[in-house]
Amino acid sequence: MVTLSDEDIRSRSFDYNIIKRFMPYVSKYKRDVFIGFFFILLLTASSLMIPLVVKNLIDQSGCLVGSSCEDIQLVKNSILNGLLQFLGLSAIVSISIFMSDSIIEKVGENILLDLRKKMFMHLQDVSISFMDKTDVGKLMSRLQGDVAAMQEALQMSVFAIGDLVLIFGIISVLLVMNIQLGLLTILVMPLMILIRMIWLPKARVAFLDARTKSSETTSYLAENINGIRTVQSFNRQDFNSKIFENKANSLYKAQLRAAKLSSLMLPTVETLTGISFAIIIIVGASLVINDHITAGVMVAYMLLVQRFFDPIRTISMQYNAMQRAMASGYRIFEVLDIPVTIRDPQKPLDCPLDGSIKFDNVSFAYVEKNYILRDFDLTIENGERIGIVGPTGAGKSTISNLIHRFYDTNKGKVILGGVEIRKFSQEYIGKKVGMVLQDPFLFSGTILENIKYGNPDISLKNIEKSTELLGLNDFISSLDNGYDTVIGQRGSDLSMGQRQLLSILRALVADTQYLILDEATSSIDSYTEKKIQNALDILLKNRTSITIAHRLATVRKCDRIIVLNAGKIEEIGSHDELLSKKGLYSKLYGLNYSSFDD
Amino acid sequence: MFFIFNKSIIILSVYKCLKKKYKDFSKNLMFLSKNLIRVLRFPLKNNKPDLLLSLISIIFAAALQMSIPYYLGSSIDTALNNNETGNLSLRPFITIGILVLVLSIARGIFSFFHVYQGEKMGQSVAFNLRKEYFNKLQRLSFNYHDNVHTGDLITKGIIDIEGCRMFINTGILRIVFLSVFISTGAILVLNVDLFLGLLALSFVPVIGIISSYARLTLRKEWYRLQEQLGILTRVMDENLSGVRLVRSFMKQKYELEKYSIASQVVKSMTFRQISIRSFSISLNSFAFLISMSLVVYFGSIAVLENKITLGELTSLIAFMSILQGPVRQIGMLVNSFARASATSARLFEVIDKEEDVKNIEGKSFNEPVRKIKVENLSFSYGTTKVLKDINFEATPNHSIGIVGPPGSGKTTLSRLLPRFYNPTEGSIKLNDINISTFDLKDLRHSVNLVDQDNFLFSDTFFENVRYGDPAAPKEKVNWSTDKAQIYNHIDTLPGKFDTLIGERGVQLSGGQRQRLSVSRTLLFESKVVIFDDSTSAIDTQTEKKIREEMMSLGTGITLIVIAHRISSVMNLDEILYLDSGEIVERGNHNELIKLNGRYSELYNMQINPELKV
Repeated sequence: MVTLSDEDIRSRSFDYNIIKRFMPYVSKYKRDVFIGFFFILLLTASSLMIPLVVKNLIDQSGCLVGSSCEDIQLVKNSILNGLLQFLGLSAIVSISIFMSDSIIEKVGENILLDLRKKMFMHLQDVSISFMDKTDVGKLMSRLQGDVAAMQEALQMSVFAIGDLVLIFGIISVLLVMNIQLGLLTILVMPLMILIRMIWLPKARVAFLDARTKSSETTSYLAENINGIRTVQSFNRQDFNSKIFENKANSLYKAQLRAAKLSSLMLPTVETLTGISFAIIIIVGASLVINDHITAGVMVAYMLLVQRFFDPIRTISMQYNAMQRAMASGYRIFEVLDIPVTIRDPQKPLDCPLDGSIKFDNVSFAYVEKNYILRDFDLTIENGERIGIVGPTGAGKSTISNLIHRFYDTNKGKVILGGVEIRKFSQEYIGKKVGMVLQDPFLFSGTILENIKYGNPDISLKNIEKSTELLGLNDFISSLDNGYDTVIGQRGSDLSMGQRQLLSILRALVADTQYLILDEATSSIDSYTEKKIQNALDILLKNRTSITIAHRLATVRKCDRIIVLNAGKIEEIGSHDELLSKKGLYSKLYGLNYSSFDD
Repeated sequence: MFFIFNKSIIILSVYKCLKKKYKDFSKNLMFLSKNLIRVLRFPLKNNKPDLLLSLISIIFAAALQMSIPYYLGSSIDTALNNNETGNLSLRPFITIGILVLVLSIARGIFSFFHVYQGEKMGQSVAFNLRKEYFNKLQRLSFNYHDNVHTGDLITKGIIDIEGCRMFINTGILRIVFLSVFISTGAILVLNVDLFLGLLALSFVPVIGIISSYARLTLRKEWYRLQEQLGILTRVMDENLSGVRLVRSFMKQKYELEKYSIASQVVKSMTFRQISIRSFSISLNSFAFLISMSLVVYFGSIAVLENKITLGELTSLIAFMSILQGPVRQIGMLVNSFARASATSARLFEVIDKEEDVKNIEGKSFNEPVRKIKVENLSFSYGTTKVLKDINFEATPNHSIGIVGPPGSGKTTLSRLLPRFYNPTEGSIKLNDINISTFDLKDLRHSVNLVDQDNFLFSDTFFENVRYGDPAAPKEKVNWSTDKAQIYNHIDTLPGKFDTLIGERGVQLSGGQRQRLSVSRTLLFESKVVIFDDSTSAIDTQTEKKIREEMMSLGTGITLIVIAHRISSVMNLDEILYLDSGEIVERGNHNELIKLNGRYSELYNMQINPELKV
């Protein structure tokens, strides 16, 4: 079975496969990416031009000090010209900043949303067994944290390309203005790269450590929020606070180590900048004195060198983000790679069904070879009410899972209304087969929205009718706003029994031809259950239904009761027939065990 | 006359308008919200040396950085001068060069401390907030947790704390740095030339105004975005948690639509935010570049007219050039302020929440429970009355069973006894003393609830069983699992008690979960144990066995059992039939059967389902 890997996978900083798979998401926004790039290049180019304009202005104004000044007015004109150039460049720089920033960030956001949507859509189709086994928190962290990490890395790498261009631009300008001074100035560059190479492995470990600690702290927080009632029942607040404090503390320390390592780059960069400045001052001055370069050139050098190290620093910071993004990418594609085992046929049928269900020689195993059902045969007629009882693991819920095609059989066929179930679309099955599940899950929203979940077009009148039949109108009217009452998180302000009642109502409102009630009344007292049973007598007329229960009383009224044991039908027949058989059913019934469980 | 009147109206309205503008503006000036000040209080309290060190480093780093343009300028002047005079000596340049190098190194060291200490304070704020937040959540009552979404709480614990953390380093310290930087720079440039200096600084107020407007808009946007992100999280979380329901109705399309709508709203909000941010960043840059171009232009003219030297102009330009980076960061800084205002408000909203179940006196309670007495107890959620005038008494020799239809108040009653809620009226007394006067810890140790929602932690069996007493030895764990009839099952697992429960371990059936949570309660050694429909998936025989084991412990356990199965309660000393929050029938099994009322109806129905309602 497919499982997701743990959160702290250590990925390489560059994984070609992940990049390759990520590319289609980017290329969807090709046009915007190109426009963004264009403005980044424009921004880079115009930022590079500014020191050159300054150089010209300085050289013009310095003419009195030098010797090339002829006409003051002419000089003033060319200075004014320089001002206009500067203003023009300012406008270009500002517009480019706006365009590149907003376009690239929006593309990043779009890609994030696309990726997340793709994952979310995929999760709607993956097998139920995967979803059952996988922690929702884990999936959520992939849908949120990992996708955000990818987005961040993407944006950073686009800007990093701009930085790279800037570095090369600066180097070329430095070299073109004066090759000698240029070479000397960029002498520190290899030094920088060397230091980076020593620094990186250490930083990498520290960053990874900080990340792992952070996810540990978060999952501890999450678990304690989810289990808050147990925490308070067992007085674990202080104890847990201590555990949490330890975790938070080691996160704090790990973050500090990472911060120290990244801050260490500051004095390094400053020292290297200082070396470059010293070279410019000493060598540059000697060149100025000897008339090899103008003072303007020297000023331009100073301005350019100041901007030289920033991009180098940001690019190497990329490494951390890249590493994180690769790990995230791995986790994202892991989700997208979960196989979809159940697919709709090419041309699904949508013929009316005759209301029968047939299991034809069905074998099924959740885990390979561990068969829950083996060569299972069962025929249910139109309009029949079937009860299934049996101990845990007998295969009761498996039968209902197969009827709804949550799983495909390993062998044999499930035939719904005379047609093999795989010939229908899953949506069609959903419209035909209603289910009331053991866990009465409610969405946040109003009571009405929840009741209408399976049938959004139903009129309030019809809902009221079903409510009345189930004897729920007292309950509904006792609520502050009746049907429009907003329920708390998943109905946590309702009792388990009330939630079960609502979920029965929801299934009835969906008005399906088949109905499966899987332990639907386990938290309801027998008296209320009896009332529900009576309502079901009316509501289940003309429907085929299967009631799965551990309480014998729940299935008592069914046309036929199946006693299931280890995937085999041990006994089958009506309540009276089974009693007269003097088998397992009658034994349990006589002993007043009244239930099968565990 | 009319004319004057008219005029005065105009003046008045202009005055009013100005006054309002001024008010808005002064509100803008107050850029620290109440919550942000609270965030800042953490480093003021906990990191005084760090704060001091980082402020000193900021001042030195800024001053040192400012001094570099001065020396750059003077090197230009000297070079030009020597060029004219033909002095070829490099000695002065070597001196300046080395000086600049030393200044750069010193600046680097100070920057290290400035950034590192800043980060340290930020992390420390995060640490403290995390701790406070966690502790608060642990103490807020069921009432609070019933009404919030766990996803929201988790998001706050991650993203909102992150926002506050970043505020220290990229927000407030950055502002201090920039202010020191610009003011030292201001002294320098104003010294060179008053007019040029003012030009060089002219961008400051413009950026100030742009930024404070942007900050206000962004703050609102951040708050809304954060809320909307919460909704999106909820949609995803519910979809994944309720996967079986979604699949059973085959509502994937509808769910996708729900997701798309929530996601679309987030998207448009984010896009608006991006636009505001990019626009203010680019406007800032524009204002800055304009003033730089004016400096360059008028500076050049001034050099031309010999008012200042070329070197002085160079130091002006170098100063501005150094500022170019930080000015672009102002946009980020504003964003950081806005985000932190929103996130800190959201966090403090939880942290400041009043705990409605408080330790009032904290009287300790360690004695055996002789009696638990419920007197005239009523309880309401909001306006809905859930329990009305409940009276009963339970002792070790008098156990209580409670039955009743859904929504009759059974669970609420069970949660009132360990004081997870406070009663609206009436009282609950332990050995004749009101439970609200006891230390909560002692009370909950004495009165334990086995909840119907038996939460197990993703840990080993061993740790789950001894959850209430994390120091319990193995023998005790063996003992309690044995009593709860789950020992044999755990013992057959390959990893035995070290087997993990949950995603990375084994999945348990409903009955196994219930037996495990019973063993957890047994190990906790409470004197009053309340079962809230928490043995429903355990078969009758096993349930009976567990019950007998419990009662034979000889430690005087008082039992209160809520159940739907009559067999779970029929042997108890008194049974209460609850309906709509009221006790409608009470007595032992035989008495209630004789009464021939609701209980006997329920009983008969369970033995003989053919009976009509």
